[in-house]
Amino acid sequence: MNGRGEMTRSASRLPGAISWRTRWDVSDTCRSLFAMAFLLLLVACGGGEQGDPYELSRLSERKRGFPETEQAVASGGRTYRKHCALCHGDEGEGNGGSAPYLDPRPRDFTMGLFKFRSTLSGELPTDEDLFRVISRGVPGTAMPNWGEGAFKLSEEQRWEVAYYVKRLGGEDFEDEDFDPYREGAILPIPAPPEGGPDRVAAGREIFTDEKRGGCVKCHGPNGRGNGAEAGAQRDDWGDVILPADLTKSWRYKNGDSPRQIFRTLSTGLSGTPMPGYGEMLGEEERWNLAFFVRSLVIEPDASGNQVLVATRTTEAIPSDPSDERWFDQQALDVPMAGQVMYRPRHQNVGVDLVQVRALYDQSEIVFHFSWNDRSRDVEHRGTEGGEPPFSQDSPDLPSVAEIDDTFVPAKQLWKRRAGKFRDSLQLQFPATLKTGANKPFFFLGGKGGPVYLWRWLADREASGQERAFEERAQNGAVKTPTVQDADDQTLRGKSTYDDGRWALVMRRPLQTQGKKDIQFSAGSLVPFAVQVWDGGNGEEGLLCSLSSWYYVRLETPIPASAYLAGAAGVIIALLLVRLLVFLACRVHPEYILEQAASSAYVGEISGASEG
Amino acid sequence: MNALWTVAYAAAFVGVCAVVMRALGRRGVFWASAGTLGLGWLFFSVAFPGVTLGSGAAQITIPGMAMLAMDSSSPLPVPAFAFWSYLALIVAGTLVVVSASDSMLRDFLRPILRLLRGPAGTEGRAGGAAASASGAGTRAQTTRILILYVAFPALVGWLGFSAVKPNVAAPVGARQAHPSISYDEKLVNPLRNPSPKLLAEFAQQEGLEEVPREDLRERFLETMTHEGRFLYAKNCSPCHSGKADGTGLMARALRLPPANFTDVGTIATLVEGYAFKRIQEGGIGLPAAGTPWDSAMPRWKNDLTDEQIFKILLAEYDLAGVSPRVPEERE
Repeated sequence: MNGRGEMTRSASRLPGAISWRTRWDVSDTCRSLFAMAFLLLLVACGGGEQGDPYELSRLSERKRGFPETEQAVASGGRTYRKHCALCHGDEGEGNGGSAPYLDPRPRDFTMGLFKFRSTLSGELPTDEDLFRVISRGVPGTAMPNWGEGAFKLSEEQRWEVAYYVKRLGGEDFEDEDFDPYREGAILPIPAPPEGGPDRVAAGREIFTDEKRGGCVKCHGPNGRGNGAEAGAQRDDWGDVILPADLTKSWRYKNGDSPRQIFRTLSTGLSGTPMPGYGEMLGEEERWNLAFFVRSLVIEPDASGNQVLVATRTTEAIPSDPSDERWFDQQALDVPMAGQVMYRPRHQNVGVDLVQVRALYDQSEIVFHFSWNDRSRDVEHRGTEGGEPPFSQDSPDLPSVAEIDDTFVPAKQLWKRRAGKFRDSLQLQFPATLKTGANKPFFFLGGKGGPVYLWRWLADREASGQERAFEERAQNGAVKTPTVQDADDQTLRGKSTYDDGRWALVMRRPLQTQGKKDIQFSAGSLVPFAVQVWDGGNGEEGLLCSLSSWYYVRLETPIPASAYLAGAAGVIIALLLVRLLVFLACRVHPEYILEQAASSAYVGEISGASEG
Repeated sequence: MNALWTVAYAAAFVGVCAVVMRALGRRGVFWASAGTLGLGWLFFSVAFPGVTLGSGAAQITIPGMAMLAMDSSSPLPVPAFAFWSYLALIVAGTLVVVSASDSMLRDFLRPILRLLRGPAGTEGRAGGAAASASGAGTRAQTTRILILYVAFPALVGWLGFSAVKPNVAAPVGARQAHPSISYDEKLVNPLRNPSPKLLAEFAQQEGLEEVPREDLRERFLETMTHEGRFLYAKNCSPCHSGKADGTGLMARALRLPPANFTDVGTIATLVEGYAFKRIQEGGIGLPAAGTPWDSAMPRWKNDLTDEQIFKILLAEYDLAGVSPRVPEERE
């Protein structure tokens, strides 16, 4: 007689067990549900494998279901008034409520100039192009993806809006180029060939060769948008326009796949300085160029990681920020937003990503920052200390204090770009470390206590002034910061600027004498946030980009106490098992082990007599 | 589509539960109870929030229902406190069911006692030795020793080790999306139900004196909403997006995502007085339960007039396609 045999038998013999089974026959229903869900998943996966849903031929097919009738146009007009006019304006002139504050500005539909097309440079787009842009939006701008995400317009509504938008140029044309019913000649976009290092290398040559692509003039040698002509260009509306930073996948307005890049290269972006190479370069050359541009792209970290691990090292920590050893360290991606909480609010930030790394040894903690910036700005004609936050700027430039508006208009910012403002970065910690998730307010404190700051000023470092690196404290964004006592200034650092990228190192002893400093030790978990000023973007004071709270963990070897706790757990468990076995053999609860042949739980519970 | 995916996922999970429980239910009450707890754990740690395994290049993410519903690419973990509360509830519930009848309790305890007493069942230690003479008995005895003296102590030891070992995860704070603040419950947006005086002023301004009352009211509402849309575009859309779904340009960098107004759990469940107060006070005006230190919502009372906020509210509800909750009548 063994336990297993008994158990099987008892289970099958028990009327109760039968009732269990009867009850679980409900699962037949569940099984059919499961099968249905599985089928649904299969269908959905099949749908996902079919490639770009906005491919021209596919869209032309879909368009047939939504004919362009007068009724459809009128309905599109109603949707436009509710969902589009707020940025593009009631008459489509690109002058809605948000227009003065956005860079790039919302499209003006009355000029017949459209950036994102399948047609030759300067020509009108197809309906499918308009539908595509409405559906997938324009990444890196305020244009939402109306056909994707949690909230969308129906396919019918999107076609109707496309039909309405192309009529905003007017109905009567003397110049037939602007006839909204005429579509431009479509430039064929073939299926992409195989990529590879050869194509990337060939593409790099075209990118840098001024006689062929010449992309380097605007986009810079490594595509960081820092070419020689960056900053001097205007679009067809006279607005300042900057070349795209090609390393950032989230800023590819027209899509970042090789095929989408090929399309952008071929058609150009009408109304902007970006030319169409469809007639200048052969198809092979354009593919090579597309694969090279694609090779520049870095994808943002999508893991949602919030903790930077500072690695403990016994070797000397590199003091040069451009040292390759820094870039071998795992970085934490810190995306940056505009400062939108206090006047002057602004959303057109110069820096939208900072990568942070950290190392520590027995005496020092060292942070390393790197970020793309189109210009090295090491002069400053604003306020010297930067405090109070918004104050007398250069007299000939619009002062941030004079901007009497809830947000800074893009035009004011462009004027300030011509001025001299320094680049700067500030690392923020809580002034006192609290338990759990409790922290001060994430931008310069105030609610929840003051913050402790490490500030770097590019102008002071470049001119060899003192306090290029300074420890400060602040208790609210509109409060005046205080500087730690001269004796307690232990922060050191160094920066380098190379080809559109800053690299910066900040170092401080783990433990200091300063009463207002925080102290680091192995194993500590410390919240931090970053603020960056791009002087070339006219940023100063509260005009800056900022991050949410992140954490830095000073990595430790696993302490002996953890092993002790594990061993203690094993011993306690063994003792407990012994005790239980002893009790189980002594108490003789035979009635539990007897076969409960006549019992039926269901019958017992419900009161029905089954046995 | 997201809702459909979430429902499909939930149905698939229910299906898996049904199959597992059917198999375990046959083996008796004890195994059914253990299965319930196991599936509960699986639901709250994997199937609902989603989970990321590994690190660096070898990272894979198993999606969860919450990720599908919220359209999130990273897991949305259940706060530890809620997680353990739910598991405790499952254990308590199982024990209630199991102890509902004597025989069920017996059936539940039997495998545990068998495990503790050894394969001989009722015959005690001596019988155990006799039973171990047969091959099947030896195998059962080996399994029993492995479970009792190796697996269980190892589990407890590992729990002790990981409790003391330093942890790299960021602390998760439970956040109340709509913490209680003092606000005027009876507040009605004066632009939503305009007074005759307001309408008369509007008619005079716009030269619409001849327009009948009902049409005038409609014209008034549309004009105010449209002005609200422009104010919304300028002041709110940088974070909350022109789509009102919280995916504005700044949202990418804000770890506490801006509210999605098209979600039924946000402004649609709130009376307008509450929404008005939240716009006025912003994130920094929240009590600790609202984790005010994470919210980038500005304190708009410094920069917008009440009338502007009322216009924005009209537009916000209209853009999101929802209506405010009507304040309940109180005795």
